[in-house]
Amino acid sequence: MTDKANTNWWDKWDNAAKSFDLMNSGVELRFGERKREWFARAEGRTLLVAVGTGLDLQYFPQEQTVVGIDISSKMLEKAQGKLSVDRNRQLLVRADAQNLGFADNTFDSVVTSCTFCSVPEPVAGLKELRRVLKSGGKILMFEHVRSNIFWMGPMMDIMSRVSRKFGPELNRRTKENVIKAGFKLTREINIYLDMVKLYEAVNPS
Amino acid sequence: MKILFKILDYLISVFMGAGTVFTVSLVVGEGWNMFIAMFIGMLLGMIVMLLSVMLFVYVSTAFELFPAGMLITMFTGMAAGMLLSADRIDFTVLLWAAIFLSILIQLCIDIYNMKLKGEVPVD
Repeated sequence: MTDKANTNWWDKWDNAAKSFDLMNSGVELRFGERKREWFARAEGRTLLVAVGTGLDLQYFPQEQTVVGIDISSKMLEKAQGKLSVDRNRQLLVRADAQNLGFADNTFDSVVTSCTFCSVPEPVAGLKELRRVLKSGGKILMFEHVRSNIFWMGPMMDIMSRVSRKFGPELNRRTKENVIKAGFKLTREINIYLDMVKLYEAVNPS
Repeated sequence: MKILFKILDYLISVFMGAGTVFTVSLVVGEGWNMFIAMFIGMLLGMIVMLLSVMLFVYVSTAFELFPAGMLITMFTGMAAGMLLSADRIDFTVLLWAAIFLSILIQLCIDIYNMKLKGEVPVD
């Protein structure tokens, strides 16, 4: 854990685990197919960051090796039930995205799904992902971000003050954070307004 | 499926607009100070929006509910507060106006979304 302010920052996610599937059912209904198409671009050994209750595991082909990490043990308990039949291909590990226990260059791809609204220090987290991602490896992201619409952005800043106490931050500038972490951004797609986005970036080193 | 989601979006918007007018009409009455009535109307609208998000997040997403919901509930709440405090106004007329405004705002958001949606050039 990176600093004192981060201490037990996952408690809110342990609390959210019980209703997480229900609260995210709308996202899966509406954006599930886009996620499936996007995550299908992941190749080889893939790290799924903030796997949560495992809702996104269904979007990976059976033959793909996926290591899902999450900071919340309660979320991981629920995710156990969603693992594929071939348990050698899907593995769950409790880990902090800001301080991963994996060796350098362990993964061919990294996938995130509404992850960097929740990691306390997003640039540190992205740098850590870059460390475990092989050179030339891709990071594929499905994220909600701060809008640049003139009235929406400031509203998201205000709402974040409340939302961060029990869930995600709404005003993250993920594109800038990806670039700050040293990734080369290769694709950006707007899914809903300029708030829900797909990003593809490559680890250049 | 997409068309069903779209119809649902419009129904939710109408629910938020009509719900705001209904809630404001229960609280604000004739003779209120107009600015206070507008402010209370806006606050009540925000509460209706938050309740609607909790109610419909299972079939929609917070990302989609917030932008339209904020505009609908804020505008209808303020307008309803102002009109209800100023003069005798037919509730049915106010309700239909709120429904029309809600559909219009949702339509504007959809058109803007169509404009923004898709690949963004990367430097």
